Amino acid sequence: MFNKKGSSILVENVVFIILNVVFLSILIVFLLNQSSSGRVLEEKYAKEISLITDYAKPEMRIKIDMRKGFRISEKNGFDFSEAVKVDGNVVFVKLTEDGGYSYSFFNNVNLNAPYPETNFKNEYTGFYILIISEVENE
Amino acid sequence: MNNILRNKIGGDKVISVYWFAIIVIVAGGVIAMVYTFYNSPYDVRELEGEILANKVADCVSFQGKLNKELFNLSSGNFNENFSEDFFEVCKISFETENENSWEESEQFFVETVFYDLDENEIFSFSKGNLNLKSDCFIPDKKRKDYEKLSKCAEKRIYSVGISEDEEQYLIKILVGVDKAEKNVKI
Repeated sequence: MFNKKGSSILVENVVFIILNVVFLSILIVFLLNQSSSGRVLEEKYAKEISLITDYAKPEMRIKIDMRKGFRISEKNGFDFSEAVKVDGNVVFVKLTEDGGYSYSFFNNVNLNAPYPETNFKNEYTGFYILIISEVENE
Repeated sequence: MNNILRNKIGGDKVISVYWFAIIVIVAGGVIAMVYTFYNSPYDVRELEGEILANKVADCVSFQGKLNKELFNLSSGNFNENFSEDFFEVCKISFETENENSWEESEQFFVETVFYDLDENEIFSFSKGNLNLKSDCFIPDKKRKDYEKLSKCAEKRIYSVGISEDEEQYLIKILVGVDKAEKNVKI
């Protein structure tokens, strides 16, 4: 009833394809994990915010897309409102409990307490708001 | 023995140990490259240097006219003490995070030189860590440690003075940014 040669070829091909797909999937998962790891994003955001602040002028209000970072902080149970801190002219970004990356900017402006944007349901949108103001003379 | 399964027809479709060895080698190579790439910091110093050079240029010359603070208004000459007021006038701060012993030496330098149109130097001022300046003149990009050197940016602008005869100046701005520890894998 069965064509033995035909079924053997089919099984070989199916096994071959499955093994290849599994192998490629592992590779793709590894690549995606590496590109969106908390440590890489912390560095990216800290440097991005510093460079944006270097370019910025007082009275500017800047909205920065941190949705990937938001997903990571959410996954790690870290409060997203604590993700970006500024101390003087140093930006500190933290997306996980044991992470954190800092980078300084040279533009002598105030980067007043950055805060995460929320929607009408009071949920985080994944964007952060930076407000630039002039340094007050002492 | 080499082949795990062999097509009994004797065709080309053979799942061999060699085929999987090739996949493992290729995947290993990709993983190694990606791991190396994502474990090296982003080098933003060139961009930082360009922004700093633009900021200094905007400070010394705005809309094609030199900043009045550059001059001693009573004598009309250049203010020799401008470098002391540079941070306040240009709204720049070279303070950095206290990591990698950065508090011991500044991570930036700025040098600004004013020339007349015959390229005779008239006035100059500098600020920051001038030891970094020598890195700007190392041409050999193939050097092993080239990436670890400071990154520099240069800007040339023309501007007119504040006096009534509106004398013209060529201004050369050279800036350098070190911060190697956070921008290069050391």
